[in-house]
Amino acid sequence: MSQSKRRLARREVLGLLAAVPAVFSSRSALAQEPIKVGGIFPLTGGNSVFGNQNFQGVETAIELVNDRGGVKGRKIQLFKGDGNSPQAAISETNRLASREGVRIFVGSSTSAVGMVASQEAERNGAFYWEGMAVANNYTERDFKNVFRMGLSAAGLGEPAPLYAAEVLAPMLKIDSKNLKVAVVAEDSAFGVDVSRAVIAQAEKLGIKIGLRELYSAKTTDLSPLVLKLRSLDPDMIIATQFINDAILFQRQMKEMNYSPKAFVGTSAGHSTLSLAEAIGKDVNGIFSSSFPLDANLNSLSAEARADREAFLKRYEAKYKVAPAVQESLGFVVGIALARDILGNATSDSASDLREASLKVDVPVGSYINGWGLKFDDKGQNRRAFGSVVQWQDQKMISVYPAANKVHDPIMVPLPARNAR
Amino acid sequence: MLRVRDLSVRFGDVQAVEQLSFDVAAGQIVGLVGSNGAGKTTTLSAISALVRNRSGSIELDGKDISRLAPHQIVEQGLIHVPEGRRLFPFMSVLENLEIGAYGKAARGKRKQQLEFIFDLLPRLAERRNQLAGTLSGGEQQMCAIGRGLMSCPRLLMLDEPTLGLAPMLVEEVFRLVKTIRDQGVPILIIEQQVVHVLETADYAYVLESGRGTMQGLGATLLQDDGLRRAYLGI
Amino acid sequence: MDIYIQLALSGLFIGGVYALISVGLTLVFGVLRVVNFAHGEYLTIAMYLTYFMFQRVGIDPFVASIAVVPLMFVLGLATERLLIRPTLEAPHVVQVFVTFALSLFLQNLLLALFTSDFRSVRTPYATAAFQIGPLYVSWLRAAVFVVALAFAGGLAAFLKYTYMGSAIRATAQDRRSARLVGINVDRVYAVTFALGCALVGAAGILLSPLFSVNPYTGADMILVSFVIVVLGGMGSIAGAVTAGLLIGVVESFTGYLAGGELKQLVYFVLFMIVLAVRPNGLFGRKGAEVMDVT
Ligand SMILES: Nc1ncnc2c1ncn2[C@@H]1O[C@H](COP(=O)(O)OP(=O)(O)OP(=O)(O)O)[C@@H](O)[C@H]1O
Ligand SMILES: [Mg+2]
Repeated sequence: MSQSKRRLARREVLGLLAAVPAVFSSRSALAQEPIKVGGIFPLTGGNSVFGNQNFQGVETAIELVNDRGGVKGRKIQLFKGDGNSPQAAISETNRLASREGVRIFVGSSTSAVGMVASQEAERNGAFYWEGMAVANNYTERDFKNVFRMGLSAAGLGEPAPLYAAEVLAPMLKIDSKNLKVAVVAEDSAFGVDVSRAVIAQAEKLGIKIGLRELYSAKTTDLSPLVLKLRSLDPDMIIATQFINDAILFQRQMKEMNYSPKAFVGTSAGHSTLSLAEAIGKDVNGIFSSSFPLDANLNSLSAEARADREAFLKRYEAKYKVAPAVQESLGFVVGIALARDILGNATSDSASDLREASLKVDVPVGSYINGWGLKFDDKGQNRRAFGSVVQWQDQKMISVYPAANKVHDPIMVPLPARNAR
Repeated sequence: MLRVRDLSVRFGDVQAVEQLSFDVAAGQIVGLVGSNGAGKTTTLSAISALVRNRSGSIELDGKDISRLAPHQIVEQGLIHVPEGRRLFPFMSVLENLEIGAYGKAARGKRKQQLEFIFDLLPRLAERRNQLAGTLSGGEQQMCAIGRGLMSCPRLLMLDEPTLGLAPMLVEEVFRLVKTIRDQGVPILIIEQQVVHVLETADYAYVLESGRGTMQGLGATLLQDDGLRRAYLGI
Repeated sequence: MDIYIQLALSGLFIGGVYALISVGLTLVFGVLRVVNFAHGEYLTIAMYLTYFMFQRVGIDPFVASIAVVPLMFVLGLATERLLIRPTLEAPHVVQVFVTFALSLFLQNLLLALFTSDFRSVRTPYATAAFQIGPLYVSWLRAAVFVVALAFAGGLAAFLKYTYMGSAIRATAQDRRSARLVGINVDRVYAVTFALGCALVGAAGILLSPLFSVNPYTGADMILVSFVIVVLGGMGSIAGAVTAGLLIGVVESFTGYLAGGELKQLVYFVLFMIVLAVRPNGLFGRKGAEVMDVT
């Protein structure tokens, strides 16, 4: 008897306590509680160029959403986690989860970081929103609360051969079946996965691959590779490279007075401003299949156009340069998470976010890069597309596919060095 | 010339030298004898400032040198030729000798000092281009003394210069020591060859477990029964 | 045939820079017995200095070396005084810890100052080349090679023919004896460490028209130098130069014959073989207390 009394009393106390915030501040106290989101990116270390660019994009998106009133009146608070190595990614994910109480993560710039950070989040029952890691097996792990909005390696690499067959071969006046292509790639998971996807796609299109060559991105001399290419003399090189090696490769090709008829990179090195800064006019004419930089305005929804304008304005005001591919990707990933997932979820618990992700159905053209959002049963966005950009007048210009195209390709075949 | 008072050195628990006092006067060969571990090397190292955890006073010609760094002590003309030769093994004999004249004062007299040493030790002249590490033990000892002499020392301290040498060479070393003294450079010599030192030295100190236990003219000490029993087994 | 000559040339050219980087590392190790894990960061710093002098003031990298090399020397002196000297008597782990921490600190400092963006010195002659028969020779790489070897040769001459040089060699071979012949060993340490920084600084200057720099460039480059220093014999200048050139050529040939991904593997195999046959490295001698310049 005394026991049941005590239980009753306890329930009453709990009920009263729960009512306190409602009584004293109605809904506003709850509404002011921010939604915590942890960004896991390599902010220091070898891959920090991409990490910082991605993070800046995400941050700009979150700031924009907050300034527009937040998500259902709640602000988003973005935490920084420096995943400068897989080990650091694990410890940062755990730190944000346990110290800051973060249950929602966004990442990750590289597959090495994304794979482990998302695993750690899944283990903690948190929600992981992937934007950049491209490893093909990322979505093959049967994780419940991990969704990839961005491209797989296949999605990133495939536009290169498609573009070669559809657009470049006719411009070169070569039947695509007779097109001779050399594939070169740096030898980390990124280069291996993407170049494999390039080759698979090329073979589907009947394009012959004359050479597939891997090298370490830390290499200091690529002239042996240039020599090999020169003796093979392919019509086109499709290259998966990071920044420093991409620069080195271009410089050494020039040194050895060699050029293919067309050069198509598959990011990451070919879609950053550093490349133009390093090689100047020699950058002109180079293609890069990559995450989309830009979209044809006509293909964008009104909302996306407004986002685009806001993004460009905010980014340029803050960083004094125009955003490039990785920044714009970060923005798209951040906007989608805030507006279309958090904004449609019943709560910010992982299971509700999962529900919202599975239900989400955003048409193509709704984000500034032309993407939409619809997940398959593995948690891979089916409305993310790779695109092709070309360096024209030392700026990146979207040339493919139609929804992203803002200008015609030029310099096909590549003219003499002094005419670029 | 050299005046040491109440020198003490400790290595952790080991009191290597305790309250040791002695003098080396101009024109003298002074011997410091004692069994293994008596603290002889430590005493020299303390004087040349290789060992710094020491107390007591060390004066050269009335000037306190206990606060100087090793290279400054060399500049003062107090040269320590270490136990086991310690030549620069991958330098030639000539380079070893030349670097002996590293101190600023000695640099100018390098040529003439080199000639003097080659005169004194003709064997070194023959082997001038050989790497020091490949010399025989006796040759190494000559080279080490020669290196010490290159700096035009005012006082030379030799740590067991006959260690591991054949009797013939031991004689030669002691002859050399006398010659150097006769050239006007006083010498403080450490030895286990007690008879030889006492015969050669003008004055000698006996060291036991870091303490000075006896002192006197070399010849007098040689007659001392206690010492004869302890060191000569007689 | 031509292609092999071309490969050998490419390898030698880059090997010259490897050699210059490694010479500084081996020198510091040979004399101070300190493995400087921050060596690569000094390379990075020199590359940034060169970059900013080029970008802001328009000074050509080769000209900039007149200012950058002495600056790096002074930076080396300061580092030795503040960080290295207090740890010289400490156990090796402490020194490893200190230089390793310095490396991380400098990386993060550079990151905070300059972000992780890659910066490139874009000289008009960066990709200029001349042709001899079928061979393409990059002016810049050839010049870099010549200057790198000149620096290494200059160091050898300095060590052989000057008082300070002799003092450095003597200190490397026997610290205690060096003190007893009147060498100010503390000063030798300072000068040696500073020389190491100046040399790697020179390498950084030479590399800057060839490679882009970000805060991690040096750390990436330095790995091969550790291999070279051990391969050549720790403390041996001649060994570092020989091994540097050798690694350059080996990389070049394996890059062509076996594919770039095998490059590192091949030179690590070479490394194991050399150390199995000559445990002290190509030019190393037992005890590693070597400072031969012959
Ligand atoms: N660096 C050191 N650390 C600790 N103890 C030391 C050190 N150097 C010497 N000792 C100790 O001090 C004592 C005196 O040593 P020292 O080398 O002076 O003897 P020694 O008289 O020269 O002997 P020997 O005739 O064998 O050369 C010994 O007990 C020795 O173990
Ligand atoms: Mg002794």
